[in-house]
Formats: sequence, structure tokens, C-alpha cells
Amino acid sequence: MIVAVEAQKCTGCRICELICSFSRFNEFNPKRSMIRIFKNERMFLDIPVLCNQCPEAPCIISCSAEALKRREDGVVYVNRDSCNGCGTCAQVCPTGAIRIDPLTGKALICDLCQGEPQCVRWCPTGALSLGDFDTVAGVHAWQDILTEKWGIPCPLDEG
Amino acid sequence: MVVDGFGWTGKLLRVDLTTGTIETQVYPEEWKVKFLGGRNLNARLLLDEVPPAVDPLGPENRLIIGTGLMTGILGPAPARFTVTAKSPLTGIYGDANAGGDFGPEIKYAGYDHIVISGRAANPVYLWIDNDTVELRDACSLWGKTVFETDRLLKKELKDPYVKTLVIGPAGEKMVRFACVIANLYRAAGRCGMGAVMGSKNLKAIAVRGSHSLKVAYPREFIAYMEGLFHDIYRASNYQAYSTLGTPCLIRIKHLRGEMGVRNKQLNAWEADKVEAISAESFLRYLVVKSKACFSCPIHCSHGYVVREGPYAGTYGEGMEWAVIGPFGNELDNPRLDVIAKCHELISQYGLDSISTGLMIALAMELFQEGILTLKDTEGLNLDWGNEEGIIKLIHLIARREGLGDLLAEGKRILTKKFADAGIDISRFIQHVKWLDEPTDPRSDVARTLNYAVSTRGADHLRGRPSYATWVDGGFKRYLEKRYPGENFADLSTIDLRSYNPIVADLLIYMETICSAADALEICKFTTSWLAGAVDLATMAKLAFLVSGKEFDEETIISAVDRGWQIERAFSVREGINGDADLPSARFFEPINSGPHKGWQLDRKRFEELLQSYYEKRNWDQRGIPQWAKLINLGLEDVVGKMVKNF
Repeated sequence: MIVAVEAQKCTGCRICELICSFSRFNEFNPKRSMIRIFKNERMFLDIPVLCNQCPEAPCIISCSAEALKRREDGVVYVNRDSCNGCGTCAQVCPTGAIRIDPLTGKALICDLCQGEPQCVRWCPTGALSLGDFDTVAGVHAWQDILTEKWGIPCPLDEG
Repeated sequence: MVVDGFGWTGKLLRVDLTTGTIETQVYPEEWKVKFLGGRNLNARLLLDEVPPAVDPLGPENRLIIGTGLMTGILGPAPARFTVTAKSPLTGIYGDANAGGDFGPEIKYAGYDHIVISGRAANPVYLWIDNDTVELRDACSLWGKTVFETDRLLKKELKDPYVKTLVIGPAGEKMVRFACVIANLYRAAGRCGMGAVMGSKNLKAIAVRGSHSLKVAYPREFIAYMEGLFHDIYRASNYQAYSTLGTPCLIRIKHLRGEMGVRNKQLNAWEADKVEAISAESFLRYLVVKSKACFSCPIHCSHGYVVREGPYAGTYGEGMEWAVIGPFGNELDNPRLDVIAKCHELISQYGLDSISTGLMIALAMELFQEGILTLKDTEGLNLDWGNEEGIIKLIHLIARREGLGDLLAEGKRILTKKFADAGIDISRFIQHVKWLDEPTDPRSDVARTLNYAVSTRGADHLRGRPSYATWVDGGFKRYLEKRYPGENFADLSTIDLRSYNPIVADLLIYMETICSAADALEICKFTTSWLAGAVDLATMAKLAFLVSGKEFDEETIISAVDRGWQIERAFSVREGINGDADLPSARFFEPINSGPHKGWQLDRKRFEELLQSYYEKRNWDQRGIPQWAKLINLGLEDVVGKMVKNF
């Protein structure tokens, strides 16, 4: 199971970021959220970025502290005691979904809220839903898909 | 540094551009309940810090950015922030409000308010990275559009998640209705805040914040919020606003006879033209997705792309009714693609959509009347609806070139310049206190009163009593508390065209809702102003759950009453009294078309209604806040500050 993204439906409201940090830490802080909305404001792109639970997870393979494991249910899991915050996992993540918690210095990876992801529950438009691993559709893939669909000219020329 | 307390950060950031001094201040704890924050506390700071009669474009003016208690916290569109300064457009108290992601990021960086003073010797931008704050050289950004500036800032700071507040070339040139823009399209538009920022040589503010915001009662808060979101989803207007957004007002304005056409010479437009610029056409031809501000479940905004015709390749986020109206019906221009091009341009230049569109409408009427000739326009044809003329004027105004340099001065100075040349153009200019408005309010006495007394000049965001539910529970409670023993069972029988003094009560109630939303910095679209989900009781409950401090409806009412009195006091000190509350001449001319044809506002009865309003606001007959009221609100010092100029 993963949180599947339909970027066409994302309005960029970031309620997911808020409920994510609140569910985990009891406070509101998008920088401590395990989901984040990448925005290209000129082209009104809002692309949710979070862990895809890759079957061959580069983050697990590259973790020298062996802090990243896959649980029995298939979910990538951070052992916060072992994590040394080196950031290698964030660098190798194909979607850029991993970040380092500004408060604790440990890796933040979506753990699917024990099977009931709050971001899915609170998303106003259904841009997030429960699904199965398909292919890794990162920011660039969505950007290409949507700008072509919408007919935005020469998207690479503008930031 | 962890942000202490709940909701508010309790800190303000002071930046003196003349000396380059930057300091963080803890503001008095008592201000939190007394003023709530946001627009309300901004007004307090402005009155305290800006001396009387200063040049709004001089270094003595302040540019104050305020977030509210709710900004940055999960809630009903708590995305807002207010920018406050003495207005270079109107010469009195001025502010503007916007959504997007900028306000929340300021809170996450650890600040409730930013107070900017002085003037930098060379163009600079302010970089706020949590507790590290610095002024950086912006010479290479000067002259760049809003879009380019934002892109270059993110590149320089190597972080696409940085949030920016930017002025465009119009702000640099101090066009008196230039705006400041967040998220590229979220404009704090009114009153010329962009010109103030430009006058200070401040090109942009970039911010990155990673502090957490906590609430006092997390478990209760999240349960309450879940219920509130459900209320919003079920609200009567949710469907229309979440799909159509504010462009849904185009048809409504037409049906209600509130649509100004050709600089409000007419109140009716051809039905096919109305349909051509309606929300339905916008959605059918241009819109590609829905867009929302931070933490907003309504997502009233849109991404749009023009794919065909001469303006193919134009795209952006918006467009609001306040863009489509001023560049559509007001200019007798039924082309959505032309309006989209105008929107893209004013976003790039950083111009207020309402004032720019209505200034072009004025220029076109002056052209129609022969007061402006082809000689004045250097051959540019300003016939109604002429797309070339409209688009060219935007460029000229933003760059202050040719006729645009004159129009960039705004209606107050323009009127004076014409008067100095012996030409009276006052009957072509609709305004209250030199701020203009896209809606023609004449057929609605309550709304006209709303525009008349609004603290920043004619403004639909300062009350809008007309659409309020007369039987709204909150309003009934409010009335019964103020008039014990009276029966207000059936208010719906009161005609909006009546001069019944209860109209003043309704207006004050709606002003209170709007002010409270601005103080908490939540979007009015979730309040009784529109969807009906968030009333004063809800706001009090939210304030309590977030801050842990005692709040009820009356605490909120008092807090925003203080702000309203202070905003008025600021303008009184600048020489305003009740005379300035009378709308300009065209408001009193008979309506010549549309459903209210023949209706005329009765000046004498309107003046009597104004007196009722003053009385209920505890102002004297000249519309000046009474000392007893100010003292009663704990604003003793405001008395002294207000009378300084008597």
C-alpha cells in the first residue's frame, strides 16, 4: 500500500503537510511533515511528494547506519535511535521525498500512519488516495505530464 | 530558538532600512487579547510610529506586515497577512491583504509582525531565514518583473521552497496603486502598498521558516477543526465558490444591477457580453485546474491557459472577479483572452487590478468626453473595449511613460492636476476617500453605507452587509444584546434599499466579522461573510483552543472595535472627518439602466443614516471617535495621538 498521487487534483493547499506534522508531533510545521507540496507557482503546479515505498528502496540500501528497514507490511521505517542524520537517504531518494527533521536531525519518511494516512483523510479534493506501487512519478514527470496536458508553452524557459 | 507560547510567536521583527539595523522585539503580552494581531495590531503600530502629515512615499512612513493568531495553523484558510502603511493613493490609513504561503512562512520563521522603516540607499531585499535576518543587495533584481524576481531569488537562495513577497516595476516607479505580490499571483492589492515598498528601495522579502506552531488544546482543537471543515464543505455557497470562485459574481452582479459598465455610466450590459466573461465561460475555455491558498478547503482560485487566438500562450493563476470586472464590464470589453492578458501583465508589473482597471475606465471616459484627446494619448485610441488601448495603457502606467505617468498618480492627484488646469473631472470619478470599487452600490443603501465609512476607502472587503443573512443567529444575538427587550424576529422584511437605522447595526456587525477575520488572518470566504461556517462564536472558540486564553464573542468584538477606532483615528489625524464619508457625485445620480433603473440615492436620508452609524460607532456628528469611547476601550493614548492635528 502507498499514498497514490493525482497531481491534477492537487490545489496546493498543504493541509496534508499540516495534518502530517500534527499527527506525528502534535504541532504544525510543514518542515517536519513527511509529505510536501512542490510548487512551480508560475505554472500553478502543485505536486505532492512523499515516499513511494519503492520495492528496491535505494534509501534502505544506502543507509550506512542501517537505520532504515522495511517492516513486514512493506513500509519503509526509520529507526530514530540509529539514524545519524547523514542525509544520504534524502540524496538517493528518486522522488526527493525524504527530508531531515530540522528539530531532531533525523530522517523523516512517511510511515503511512499505521495504515490510515491522515493526509488522505484530510485532502479536500481526492488528490491523495490509497493505492499500490505503480511507477515512481516524481516532480519532473508530473511537470511534463501536466504542462503538456494544459498546453503551457515552453515550460522549461520559466522557473 | 523554539517559538514559545501558543498560536502567536509574540515577536516582531524591526528593520530600519536607513541604518540597516535589524532587531527582534517581544511585544507586550497584553496586546494579544487586546488586539488579536493581523490587520488590527498593524493599525496600532502604524498610529504609534508614523507621525502626522508625513509623505507616504518618504522614509518616515512604515511598511508593516502582520500575520494573525491563526496564520500557519491548520484551519479555515488561515493563509492571510495584512500589509499596512499610510497610503500614497488616498493619503490616509491604508492596508491590503493577501493569501498564499508567505504569511504562514513568516510565522514559521518566528515572527507575528514585521515593521519596516526608513529608506535604503540602494535596492535591497530582506532575507529572513528563521533567526538569521539580513539585507542583501538587490541591484540586479531592480527592474525585473514579479515573476523574474521570484525565480531569481529562489535561484540565488538555492531553495525552491522559499516564499517571497515582491514588488514589480510598478512598485519601483512608485505608481500610487502598485501592489505587493506573494506566490506570484497573490496580491495585497489596495492602497498602493507596492509604491511604499518601492519608495523604501525594498525589492522583495524572502523567507524560510522551520519553527513549529503549537496550539494550547491540541486534541480538542483537531476534533473541532474536523467538524468545522465538514461545516465548510456543507455550507450553502461551498459548491459555487469551490468550482467557480469569485468569477461567479459576474452573473450575480449583472442580475442585481450592480455591474458597472463604461466607468459606471451604465448598470446594464448586453447579456451575451455578460456570458462571454462569466465564470462558466472562464471554466469552459481557459481553466485547467483548481488552486487554493494555504490550508484552504475552498480552493476558489484557478490555473488558466489561453490556448487559441492572438493571446495564445498567456497563462496564470486567478483570475478573480476583481480582475474580470474592472478589465471586462467596466471597459466594455467582453473578451476573456484580453482580460487574461491584462491579468498576466498586472501580475508581472505588480499593479492593483481594481485601481488599474478603473483608472483605464476613467481614461476611456475622459477620452469619450473629449477631455483627453488623441494628442494627449499620443495617437492611442481609447475607445471603449479597444484591446490595444487597454493593454498599451497598462504598460504606460507601470512604466510611468507618456499619459501613463499622469494616470499612475491615482485619482486624488489626477483630479487635482486637472483642477489646477481649470478642468473639473470630479463627476467622472467614483470613489470614497479616493479608493475606487468595482461594484456599483447605489441600489443598495446598506452597501453604499459600507463603502462610505470603510476605514481605507470604498471597499467590499470591509463589511458587505447586503448578502448577509438577516436571520443569521450571530447577528440576532448581537442585536438582542445591544437592544435588550426589543424583538428582532423577522429582519428579513427590511428592504436593503431602506434607510432604516438597523442597516447601520447590520453593517457594524458585518464590519466586525470582517475585522475579526483580518485580525485572526483567516479568509473571509469561510466566515458569515460568505459560507456561513465561521461566525464570531466560532472565531472565539478557535482563539481559545489555539491560544489557551479566554475568548468569547464580546472579547473579539472589543478587540476589533479597537482596531476600527484606531484606523479611523489615524485618518482623522490626517484631516479626515465626516465630509469624506460622502461618496462622490456619481453615487447620487439616478440609475439609468438595469433592474434598478430610475432609483436614486436620497442624499439627505443617506446623511441621516450616516449619523446613525456614527452614533452606534460612538463617533461625534463629524464622524470623529469620541474620547469616552476610546478611554472605555483602553485606548487613552489614542486620544492624544488623534487630536495632535486639530
